[in-house]
Amino acid sequence: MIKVLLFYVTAAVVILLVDRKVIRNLPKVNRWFTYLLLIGGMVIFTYSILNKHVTYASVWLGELLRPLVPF
Amino acid sequence: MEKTTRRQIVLLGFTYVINITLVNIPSQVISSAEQYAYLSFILAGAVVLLMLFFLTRSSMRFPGQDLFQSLTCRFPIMGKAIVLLYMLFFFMILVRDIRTMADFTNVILLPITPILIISLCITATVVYLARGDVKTVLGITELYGPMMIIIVIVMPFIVMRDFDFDLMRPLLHVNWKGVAEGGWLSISYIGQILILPFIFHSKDYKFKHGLYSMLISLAILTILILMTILLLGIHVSGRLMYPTYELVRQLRVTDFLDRFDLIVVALWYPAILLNLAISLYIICYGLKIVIPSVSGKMMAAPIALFAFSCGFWFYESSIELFQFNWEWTLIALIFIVALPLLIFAIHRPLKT
Repeated sequence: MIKVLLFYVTAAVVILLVDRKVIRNLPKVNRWFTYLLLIGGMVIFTYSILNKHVTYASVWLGELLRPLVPF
Repeated sequence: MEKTTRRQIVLLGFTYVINITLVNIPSQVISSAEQYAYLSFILAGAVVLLMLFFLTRSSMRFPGQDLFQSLTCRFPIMGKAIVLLYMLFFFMILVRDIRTMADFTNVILLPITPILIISLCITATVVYLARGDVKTVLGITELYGPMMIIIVIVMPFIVMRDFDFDLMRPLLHVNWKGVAEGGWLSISYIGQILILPFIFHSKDYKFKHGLYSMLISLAILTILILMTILLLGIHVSGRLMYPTYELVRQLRVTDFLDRFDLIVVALWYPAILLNLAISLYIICYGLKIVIPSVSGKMMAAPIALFAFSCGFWFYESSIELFQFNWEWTLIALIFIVALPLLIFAIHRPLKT
């Protein structure tokens, strides 16, 4: 299962390598946003792919909102 | 810099509405509204058109600015909050579309390839499309938009001899409850046209462009849904996952070209990638408006990868994705009805 996570890590490393030179010259906030999004994405990816019992957002929201749907 | 033309705006609105709508909801709309499914689209289109009018009027109060720019200038805190909410809306659309496309490709085109790889390939392509300026997106729209229109207009002539007009009966006993259910399902998809005043400033974008865009979209959706009903019937198409693809599979240009569906899918697929690119572009653009020091272009890849991850967390399966359409409308109505009304009510220039 850990191999699946490698897909994500590889994609994230490719993004960091390709954008390395450009992002270095931009304000720091760009770097922080990039790291935040990539790490956040990895946490969500790990949770949803590698976990046995996942609470899917649409299932949870569906349960919550179903009483409000008029049909 | 080249000026954005009227045709580009109309085609962008059309592309953003039509490509995913024709995959995701025909089955459910036909199940609910039966042979009057086209009325559901018209009903939803009328509501969305009214909201588009309100948003366009709000946008025209600030000449030379799009709605994102004018909202953040006029209301530094609340305006940014509204922009962030719309970014969230378009992010959810992006996540849904990535998952839809990955599922469609996995089910129909590449059954052996793992869905993760398909999804990653789609995401990578979308990043490259969105990283170009809005001009890149508009350029591709100008290429694929007319092609989609021509294909759909030509389709009835190819399959006309197989139409069974008995499948449209009863013709005049409209099931209005079913039509309303279909309208409920389709409003969240047709409402995506509200993107126009957020991307284009009021000097380029006028209400009539949105109107033309909506009319073309509704006409194409009506042709497609009528063809599906006339060819496959209500009961079959209501039980299919992708009835529009099944409709396209019925296209045979005599013995000369018996897999016409491959050509149609080959032309439709880049158009749907363009849809995803538009969603990603507006999220990056919104982020740049909210935090000016952030480079929207550089954020495209991380945001897309984040959306790729969310695609697997938001939806358990493609069945769940379709089922969620009922509740998704409830969320979408905040962005399609409530916020446009709020913007129309409060978004006025300061009196000097």
